[in-house]
Order: sequence, then C-alpha cells, then structure tokens
Amino acid sequence: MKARTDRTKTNSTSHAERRAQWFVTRLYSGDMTAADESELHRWLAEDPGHRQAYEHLLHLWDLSGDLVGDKDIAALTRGALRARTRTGFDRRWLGLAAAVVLAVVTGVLGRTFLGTTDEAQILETALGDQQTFVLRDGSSVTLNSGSRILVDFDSLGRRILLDFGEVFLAVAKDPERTLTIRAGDHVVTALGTKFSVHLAGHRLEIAVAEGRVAVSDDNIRFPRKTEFLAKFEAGSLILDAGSVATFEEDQQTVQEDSIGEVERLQSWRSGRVRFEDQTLMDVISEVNRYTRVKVLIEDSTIADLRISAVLNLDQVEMTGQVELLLSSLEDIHPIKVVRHPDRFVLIANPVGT
Amino acid sequence: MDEDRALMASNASKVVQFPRKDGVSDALQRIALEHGPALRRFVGARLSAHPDHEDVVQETFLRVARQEDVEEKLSRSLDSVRSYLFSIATNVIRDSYRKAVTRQKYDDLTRDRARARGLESSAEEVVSAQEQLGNVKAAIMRLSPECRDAFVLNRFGGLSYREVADTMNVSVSMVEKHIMRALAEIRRRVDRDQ
Repeated sequence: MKARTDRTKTNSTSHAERRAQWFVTRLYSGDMTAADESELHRWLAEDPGHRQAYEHLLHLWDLSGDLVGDKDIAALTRGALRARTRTGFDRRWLGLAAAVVLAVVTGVLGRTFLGTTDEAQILETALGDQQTFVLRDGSSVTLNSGSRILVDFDSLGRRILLDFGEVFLAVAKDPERTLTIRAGDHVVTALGTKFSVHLAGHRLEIAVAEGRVAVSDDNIRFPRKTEFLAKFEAGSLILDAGSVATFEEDQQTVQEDSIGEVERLQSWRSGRVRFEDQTLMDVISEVNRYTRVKVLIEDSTIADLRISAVLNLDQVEMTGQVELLLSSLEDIHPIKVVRHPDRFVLIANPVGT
Repeated sequence: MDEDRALMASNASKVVQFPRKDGVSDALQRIALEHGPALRRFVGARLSAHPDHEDVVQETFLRVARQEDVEEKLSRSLDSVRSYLFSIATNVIRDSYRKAVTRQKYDDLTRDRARARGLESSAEEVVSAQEQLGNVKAAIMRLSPECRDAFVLNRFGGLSYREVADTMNVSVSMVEKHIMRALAEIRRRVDRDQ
C-alpha cells in the first residue's frame, strides 16, 4: 500500500503497463487464485487507464493466435521444439517409447520412465528438487522437494511406501490390482484417481483432485480389486474428489467440497507454492521444505500474522526465491528479516519504526 | 468485496450437469469438478467488463465435449489441461465478440443510419487488423532467442508454462518473465505504427 502511494506520476504509465503484462501472463498460467482475481478487479476499477492497458494487451494476445498458420511462425515453433528437446522427438513419441523401454531412461521433459523390473525401487528428490516418474503400469508419481518413496509392484498389487515428503499420484486404472500408498500409520487405497499425500513427521495430509480413495489404518489392506470393492465401505474412510483429510496424533479432520484447497495444496506441481490467509508459522514451515538455508521465527508475537504470498520454485536459485518472498513480507507486514549466510531470522518490526 | 466473495463461492460450488452419452459426460463431470473453478476465474478475468461469464463457461465445456480425443487430452497433466481449456475459452470469447460486432453493424445498416460510415470503418478495420497482425509477427521475429522460444512454444506449440520451463530447462517464473517481455515488445511495435 505504502509503495503504491509513493510512486511518482511519471512512473505510473510504465508501471500500469507492467502490471497489465503481469496480469495477462498470470491469467494464462492456469493457477490464478481467487486473491489474484480480486486484485485484478480492484486494479481495473482503480483507473480507466488500467483497463485500457489490460484490454489492449488481451487484444494483442488474441491477435497473435491468428499467426498459428503462418509459415515463419510454424518454422520458429518447430525450431524451438527441436533445439530445446535435446533428443529431437516430441513427448507423444516418448509416451509410446515408455512401453518398450526396459532400463531407466531420463525423459526429455523431466519425466523418468521406470523399466519393467520386478525389483522394488527407491525414488527420491533433493531439497528444492521435483521429479515426475512414469511407473510401469502407466501411473505417474511426482515427488515434491525432499521426498522419498519405495515402489513395489508385482502381480499381487501395486504398493508404494511414502518414507517422507510429498507425492502427487495420477493412478492408471488396472482391472485387477488396487494401488496402495502407505504413509506413517495409514494406508490409502486407490483405483484410477489423482491425489496427493504429504507426510511431515506425524502429520499426514491427503488431498483428492479426482476420483475417490479409501483411507484405513496400517493393518487393513485390500490388494485385490474385488476385495477392495467389497470392503470399500467397511473400516475405511472414503474421500471423494475435492476432499482434504489430515491425520495428526489421534485427531482426524476431513474437509469436503474443497477443490480450491486441493488446488492450493497441489500448486507446487506447477512450479509455485501459494499461501492464502495462513499463519506466518505455517508459511515458514512450508518454505523450509524447499531450501537448505532455513528461515526461523525469532519472535512469537509475529507467528500468528495472516499471510497471503507466493513462493516460486526454482531449482537453481531457491534461496533467492525465498529471499524475494521474505522481502515482500517485510514490505507489508510488521516483520524484519535479519540475513545470515545460512539462515534468515524473522523478528517483529513495530509499525512506525 | 463481500458480495464478490459470496458470488465466487457460489460459482465454485456449482457442478455442471451434462446429458449422458458415450461416457463423454463422465469426463466432463470430472473436468467441471477439477477445472471448473479455475475456468470461471479465467473467464471472469477475461470478461471483467461483461456479465455473461457463465454462458462462456458452458459453451467451453460443450466444445471440449465435442472433441474426439477428449479422454486423451484430459488425461494429461494439470497445467496442460488448463492450457487447453483456456485456449478453447479464448476462442469462445473471440467468437461471441465477433458475432456481437457483426450484429451491431447489421443493426446500424438496417436502421439506415450512418450507412456509409459503417462500411468505411469496417474496411478500415480489416486493413488495420492485418497491419497489426504483421506488426505482431515482426515483433515476435525480433525477440531475443530465449524469449522468442518461450513465447512460441507456449502460444503456438501448445505447451503450458510448466512444459515450456521443462523443455527449456529454466524455472516457471523465468518463462513468465519471457512471456511478459514478449507482450511488452509486441505492444511497443504495434503502438509505434499507429
């Protein structure tokens, strides 16, 4: 707020132009949030010039779409695809290739296809890293920063053990076998569906984007689809698409019809983590999952501040991204960031000082 | 503000019902559930000045349903599906805009009011649109290689930002910077010639 009123008039045209570029770019990113949307409407209402700049850019964006049949543009696009995908073929071919690949092959688009060996495999990611693996049944699993799983598939069932961290699963349908993922004291069973599981210490969080899953305690398992269907209702908790369930100690909470929250929890898949009206404490513990340089809250009075922010995930320069997020918090909240080589310390910064 | 929120909340919980045929409706129920809120947000932001958002959302879903390879398209990653839905929604918006403009011109003509002016301006508009398109192309051809690759891969290669980032081995925020830069250059070029 303060920064906006300080800005000089001469600056405001190019600033409006940059904001318009930003909004149009965000719009087509696929993960614009409700907060972004209301910010856009507020900004448009602020000044007729804002709307004009925005509408003009949208018009040019749309217009550029008419170049899709243009020979030069088509050549540029083909050239870009060839130059950027080192091996030179496109990803649809890779999908086909996956079926016949025996060994482990690193995919062009950061996906790794696992071979057909019956041995269990350990998959893991370093801090700040994310990776997608296509399993041999066609399911894909994306590991978020600092995660480890064990994949153990055989004719009896598809079993995954989540050691620690967070995974997103797009489960392929299998007429015979269910897919189970064990995390802490719980087992999640799925047929064909998309969901994420996040295990942090004793806290387990499950968010279902599509289909439904069943959650039960560690002792109950239904490797066969028929058994699973028969006992689907008995002894397990059923989560439908749009549900978020958390388990901690003996506490269990389920939020239904919360597709927005599911989206937010899985936003890391599109390269950024979104926070909407969460406590600073929660935001920081999330941020710390992605970087070796740690953020500490030194002052308990600021731990409960409500924060909305975005953390961009950048495997090369994660510390810089964290620093960017912290300095944006410094601008709008009574917080001061003290920078050390190996950590950022947050302290209270009373307003007016 | 509160009204906006209430409106958003009511939109978010709306599930579109489709006629059952060929199992297509299942896929549609799924996208309506998984992508409905994001699509409504997108349309709301595109049509901030107009009230007919829901029509566009429904028409987008219907067009998706008519695609032959709908299952294959919807089984792709989240951001690819979004990218695809948004490009269809953009077409719906452009088509309805064109229809509205045509209807307006027709009304003007039949009312026999400013007939000559109407015809003139439509001829001018055609020329100006072609010139603008030429300028857009020229601007794209002159972008720096990184920036140009990011823009054409997204805009004409049909890749989502995430896929562009993976393909170019850079971060998503870098891709967004390239897209913003490309928009700025296109705008500068078009404005210079007007």
